[in-house]
Amino acid sequence: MKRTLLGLTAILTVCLTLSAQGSSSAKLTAAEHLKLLQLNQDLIQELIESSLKLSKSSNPLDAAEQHVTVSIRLGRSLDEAIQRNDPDRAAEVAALLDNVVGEALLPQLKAAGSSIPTGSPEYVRYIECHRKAYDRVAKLADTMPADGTGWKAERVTMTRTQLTKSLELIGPPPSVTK
Amino acid sequence: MNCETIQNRIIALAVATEQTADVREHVADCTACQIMLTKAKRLDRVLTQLPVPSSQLAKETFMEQILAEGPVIRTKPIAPSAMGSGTFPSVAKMLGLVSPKLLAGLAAGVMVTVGGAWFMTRPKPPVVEPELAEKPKHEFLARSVKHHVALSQSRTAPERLSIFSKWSTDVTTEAKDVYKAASRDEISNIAALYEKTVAQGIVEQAKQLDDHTMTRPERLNRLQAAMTLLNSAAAESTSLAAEAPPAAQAAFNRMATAANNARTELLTIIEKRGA
Repeated sequence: MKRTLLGLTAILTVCLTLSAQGSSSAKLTAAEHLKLLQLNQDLIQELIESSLKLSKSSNPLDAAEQHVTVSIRLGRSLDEAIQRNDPDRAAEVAALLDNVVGEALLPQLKAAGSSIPTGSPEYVRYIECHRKAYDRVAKLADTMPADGTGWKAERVTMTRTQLTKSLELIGPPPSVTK
Repeated sequence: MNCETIQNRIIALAVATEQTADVREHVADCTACQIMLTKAKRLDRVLTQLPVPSSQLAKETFMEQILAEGPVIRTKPIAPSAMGSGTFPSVAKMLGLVSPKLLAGLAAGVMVTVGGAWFMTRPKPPVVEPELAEKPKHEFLARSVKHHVALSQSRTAPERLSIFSKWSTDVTTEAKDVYKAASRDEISNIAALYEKTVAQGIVEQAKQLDDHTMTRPERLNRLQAAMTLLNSAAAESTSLAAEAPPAAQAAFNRMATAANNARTELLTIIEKRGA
């Protein structure tokens, strides 16, 4: 009798604990995970391929070009989110783009700009790389809706802030002659 | 009759002046009882001066209350035993017969039942409007971007080896998260990502570990850490291949093969360099 009562008590406790955990956890189902993967699979594949090239790059310009490739790819996803009127997705991608631009592209661009002699073929490549990055982010900033109509205002502000910050970080490309 | 009895009778008199014959007879010869009678008479007088109804009935009731415990208190009262008669002692007796473990179990059961009832009936958090609810973010994408940025900031092969090791683990985690719902092509694409991360990431960086930038024990430690990771990935993929739906089995087998091949290559590096 005693053992039965104690056993029942223990089972009830475990059941309630598991139930509470299940309800509070934000874990996604396999189908929900798959939906996210389907949305990002190409992007992730390009990220991995670009990163493999990046790991073999021997100079800042090579590395910067890989970051421009990734930034352009992220920009495309951001553009799609804007066209789909999906502010959550846009804010998510804009934050990732800001991360790549601020923490990876900009340091490599600066290193390349300071190490490549003006007028050299490499310098032209560097200007082209810089211009691509700047133009792409500027275009995205222009694409952003001017107000929050149809968008959640907070996400609109967040995305625009991220893009403006990224654009400022890159800065306009220098002239070829410097 | 002794003085004690007489004095009790004096106290019991409704009116101190109306003594019985035997009391009157004793008081006549007893100084102590005379003093007691005098006090009783004075009490009568004082009582009549109080601003309360001076009815005989009220006085009798008052005296009965005073004398309820008995005429004269001679012994100290004894507190009733905790295990004596009454409701509480009966319960205490009953509980004394029950095991403390059972009591604890019963108490826990009551607490769990009450907690469960509260949990089932507790007020639900406010439902966020779909328009304002934030959609789930893709953790794998965020981590992939983080790895890309980390690679840009890395300066050495050991750092890059560590990044690709983490990335390959993230790929296997993603495979585990989606394989139950993914199509053959989708899970196959993940396997391809794993193969690339392992063969072109981990193995290539392992080959670049050299004696110029790190000591031999350091290099051995790095290689062994990567091998351990690959071992567990191979074992897990093999295990998942056995239980996964047919569409995912081939993909997990590919991942297990990729991990085993990479492990063999790392072993070769160790043997060749004598790390």
